[in-house]
Amino acid sequence: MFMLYSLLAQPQPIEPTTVSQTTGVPLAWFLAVSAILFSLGFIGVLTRRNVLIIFMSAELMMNAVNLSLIAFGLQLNSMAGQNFVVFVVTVAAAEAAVGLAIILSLVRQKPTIDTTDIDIMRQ
Amino acid sequence: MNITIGDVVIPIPPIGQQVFMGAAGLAILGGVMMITRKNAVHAALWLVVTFFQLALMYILLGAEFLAALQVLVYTGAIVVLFLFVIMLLGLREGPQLGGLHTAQLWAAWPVGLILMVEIITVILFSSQPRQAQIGDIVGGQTVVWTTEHVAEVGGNVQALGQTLYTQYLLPFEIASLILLLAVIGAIVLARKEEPSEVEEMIPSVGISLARRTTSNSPQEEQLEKKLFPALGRRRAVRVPGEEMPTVEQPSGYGAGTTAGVEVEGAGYENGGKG
Repeated sequence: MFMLYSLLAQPQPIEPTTVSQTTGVPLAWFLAVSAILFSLGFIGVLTRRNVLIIFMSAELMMNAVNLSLIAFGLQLNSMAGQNFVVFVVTVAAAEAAVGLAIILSLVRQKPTIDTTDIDIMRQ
Repeated sequence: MNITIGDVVIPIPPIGQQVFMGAAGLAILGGVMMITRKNAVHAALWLVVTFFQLALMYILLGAEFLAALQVLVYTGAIVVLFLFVIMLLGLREGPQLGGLHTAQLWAAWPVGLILMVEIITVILFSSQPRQAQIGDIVGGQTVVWTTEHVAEVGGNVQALGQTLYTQYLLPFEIASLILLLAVIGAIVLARKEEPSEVEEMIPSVGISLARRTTSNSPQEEQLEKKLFPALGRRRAVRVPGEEMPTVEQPSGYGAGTTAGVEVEGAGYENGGKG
C-alpha cells in the first residue's frame, strides 16, 4: 500500500539553485554593479560632446543590462536571460555598424564629431 | 579561513567573491576612465578593460558561451570598429573633437549619481526574486535550468542552443534580418560615390583604382601598366590645361575586359574634373 502511494505521489520537485549558491556572491551585488555601470554610461552620454564616446557609453549601458539579465536568469533557473543577451549583442553590433556609418557620412559633410557643432539641418 | 594580525581577525571571502570583487572593481574603474578620457582611442581601450571584466563575471555566472561572445563580438568586433572609425576620421586634438558639456556638467553628474543611488536602493530594499521554477519550454514540457540540469544536457552551450532554436526560433530569425539590414544600411550610408558614378564603374575591376591619381610604389605602377594598358596611356598623356582625349563609351558592359578598362578610364576622367 505504501509503495502504491509513493508511486502515485507527486514527483519530487526540482530543487532550484540561486546565484549565491552557485557563485557564492549574492544576486544583489551583481545588480549593484550593473546599476553602477549603467549610471556611468548614462553620465557619459550626458556629459560628453564627442559622438564616438557617446556611442561607447551607450554600449556600456547595454553591457550593464546584459549583466543583470544573466544574473536574473541564473537566479530564476531560466535560459531566457541568456537568450535575450544573444539578441542584445546582435542589436548592439547592428547599431554600432549603422551608427558609425552615419558618423562617417556626417564627417564628410562637415569635419567635426562634436555634437554641438553638428547642426547642418539648421543652416 | 581568516587572516589574524594581532587581535584583528580579517575573514577571507570565498573564491567566488574574490573574483567578483576584482572584476567589479576593474569594470567600474574602466567605466569611469572611459567617460572621462579626452582621447577617444584611450576611451575605447578602457572600454575593452570593462568588457573583459564583464566576460569574467559571465563565466562566474555560468554563462561561458556568452563570455566568449562578449570577447569576440564586443571587444573583437565592435571596439575594433570604433578604433577603425576613430583612426579613419583622423581628427587631431582640438576643438572639433569635442570635450565636455561644461554647461551640463554640473547637472549631469548629480542626475547620474541620483539614478545610481535610486537603482541600488531599489535592489537592496526590494524582496529578492523567489526561487521560482520559471524554466523554459523545450519540446512541450517545462524545463527548470538548475545548475545540475545544465550539466546534464552537456553544458551551457547545449542548454542555450536547446532554448534558442526551439522557444526563441522566430526572434533568432528576425535577428538575422536585423543584421542583414544593418549591413545594407551601413554600406548605403558610408558609401562615398554618387549612385550614377558607381553604376558606370561597377563593370570595371576596381572602384578605388579609377579614382586614384598616383600609384603608391613603382612596382605597383608597373603592375598597373601591365594590367591596364589603357589607364597607363591616359596617365601618360595627361597634361594640365590640355584637352583630354575622349574615350568612347562602349555600347554594352558585357564586352569583355577591354571594355571594363575603357569605362574605368572614363571614370578617372570624371573624377579628375570633379
